[in-house]
Amino acid sequence: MKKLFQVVLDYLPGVALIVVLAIGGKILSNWLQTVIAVAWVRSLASNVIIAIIGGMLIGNLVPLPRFFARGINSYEFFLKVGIVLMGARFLITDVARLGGIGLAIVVVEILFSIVFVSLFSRLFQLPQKMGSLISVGVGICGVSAIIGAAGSIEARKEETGYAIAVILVFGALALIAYPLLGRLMGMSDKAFGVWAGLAVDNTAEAVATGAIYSKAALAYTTLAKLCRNALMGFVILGFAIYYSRRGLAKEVTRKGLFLWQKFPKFVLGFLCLSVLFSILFAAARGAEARSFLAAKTTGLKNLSEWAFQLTFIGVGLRTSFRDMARTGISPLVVGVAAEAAVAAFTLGMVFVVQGALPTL
Amino acid sequence: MEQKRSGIGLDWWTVIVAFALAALVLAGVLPNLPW
Repeated sequence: MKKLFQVVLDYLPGVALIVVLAIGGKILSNWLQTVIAVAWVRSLASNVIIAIIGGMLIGNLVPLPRFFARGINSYEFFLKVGIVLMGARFLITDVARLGGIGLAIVVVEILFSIVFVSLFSRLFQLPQKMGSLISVGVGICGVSAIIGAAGSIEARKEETGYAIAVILVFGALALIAYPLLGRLMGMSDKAFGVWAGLAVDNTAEAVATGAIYSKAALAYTTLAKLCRNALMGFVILGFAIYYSRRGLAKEVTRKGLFLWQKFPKFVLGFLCLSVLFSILFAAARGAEARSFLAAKTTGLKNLSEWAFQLTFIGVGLRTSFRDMARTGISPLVVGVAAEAAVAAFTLGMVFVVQGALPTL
Repeated sequence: MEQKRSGIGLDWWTVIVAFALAALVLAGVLPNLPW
């Protein structure tokens, strides 16, 4: 009980700060939406952009006491809760259709980024494991995948830190670059959403990028990103086997258990909620039952919107310009090349398959 | 991020919390939050 109390005390200040800023950001955005007359300026005052930029300004300009740190860093928890709740909005048949195509694209994308980053990091003489970590981060899902892989391939602390810094720098740049490129190319919500889900590394930044583009794009981004997250275990297992065969890491003995441990459980939660609501909607008889369920789905959608709003504040607060500047040049060059290559490659794939993608 | 705390991963807690919220909304205990 004492331990639980201590955990609550550790997290409370940071979480309270995020909640206050999230509510303040939403109120400010709602007000700006009513007073700004020019449409394109109004779109820049969306709750996502206000939350991220507000978080960045406070995180970089205000010296926040250390006791806020744990709570601020817990925003990934809210992100995952939000994603699970989003499951209620999708029919499982749609998830399966988009997920099937998504998984196929993701397998190609992951193979491409691993081969590309490995070759490029050799060219720039990065430590081999750092190159592997960057390729895992670029190919799959950013920070979580890097942390998962770092333990399995026994990477050094500074290799892991660098790889994470590279992913975070590009996550921050993606928030600006992708929506701009998408608008310049006149991409549909569907095509852009899938592209952002495939190309932006970290789950929080990917969701934010989709949300900046449009609400409709966010749904596609989340599903595409979940396909990448779902494959995380397989890629980490592949690297773990690769390094253990070279005597550079411990051998993985129980591969099934390893895969289960690395499988992101929130993806499972998302799928379960989607199945549950699909069954409820199929079983609902009469207009009254359906409108009751629709109202409940809206309630869950709003909850997930709030969970994402907390995440966007956290993304902003965590983005440190000083840390960005400290990242060395070589990993950044490899990062730039990898990100640009993956962005171009996934964009090409999205244009090829977009006709086959189901509309949500 | 899979962090172990008292035997259950943080990832599982996100699922537990989300399902608890969904149950509360379905049961009408938690009102629809405005967005």
